[in-house]
Amino acid sequence: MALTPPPRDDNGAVIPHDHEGVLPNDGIIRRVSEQQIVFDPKIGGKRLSSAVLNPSSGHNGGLSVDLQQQIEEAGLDAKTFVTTPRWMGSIRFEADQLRIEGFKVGYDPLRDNPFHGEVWGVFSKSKIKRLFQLCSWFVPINDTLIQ
Amino acid sequence: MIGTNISLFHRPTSKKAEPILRMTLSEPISIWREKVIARLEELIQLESGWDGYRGIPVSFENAAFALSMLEKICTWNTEAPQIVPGYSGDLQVEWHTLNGDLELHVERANKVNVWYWNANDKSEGEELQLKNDFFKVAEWVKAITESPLGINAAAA
Repeated sequence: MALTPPPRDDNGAVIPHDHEGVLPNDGIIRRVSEQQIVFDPKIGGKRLSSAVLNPSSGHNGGLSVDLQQQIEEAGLDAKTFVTTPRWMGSIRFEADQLRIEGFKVGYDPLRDNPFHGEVWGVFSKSKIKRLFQLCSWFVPINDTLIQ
Repeated sequence: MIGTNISLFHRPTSKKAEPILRMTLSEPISIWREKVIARLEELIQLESGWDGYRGIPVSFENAAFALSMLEKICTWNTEAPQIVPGYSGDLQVEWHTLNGDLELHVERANKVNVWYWNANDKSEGEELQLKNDFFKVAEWVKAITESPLGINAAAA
């Protein structure tokens, strides 16, 4: 089911909101660049930097995500969609995992990504570590752990 | 590593010039600086959308501030940190060692979110917002990058 348009401010920017059309078990995908991988001798290998889950600092800035359910309802393959045009890794949450941690999961369609969403909330370091424990690889990056 | 410059000077006299050998010690060459500058140059040249969304390259101002900050908190032989880009022109400087983790998120010049976790500490770590006083951070850099006691003992 197509999502209803998100609330916007006078400048047209999407206002942080929790979209009722994003259901509890819907997949929330965050793409991950190899630029944000670090080496950690404590695990003897590579893992994701906490910077992966730092939100944007702009007006109403949240964490950009892809809404898996909307991609699939449009008849597209979600793994292909999030690795096109550039191959990247990605991690996956379920919407309710984020909401239980106090985050809002909203809809913020873009011209080049109609399945784009945002996650808003307080991304403290302890919360980011908690989120890393909750998510799993959607498109794994070789030899890299989430945490 | 201490750089050594040997200079040969001649006295400007009418007498036969006698060469004077002088040895001067220059400032130590920081072993982390070259790596950091190379990485920062890479990050300011990222293309827009590098993160698969609307991420922009690290700003020149934030890169310059990060280098200036590192010059204050590192010694010449500090291990080079790892540096990762943020999505809004920001960046994060990180050390991960057997001693713990230290992350300096440069949101913009004079706005740095610091998180430090010591491996001997049971807590979730300490988080600070800093502007330009990095004395505490310099202590943490030293603590996190010095060889763990166990490794020194094993190597002895």
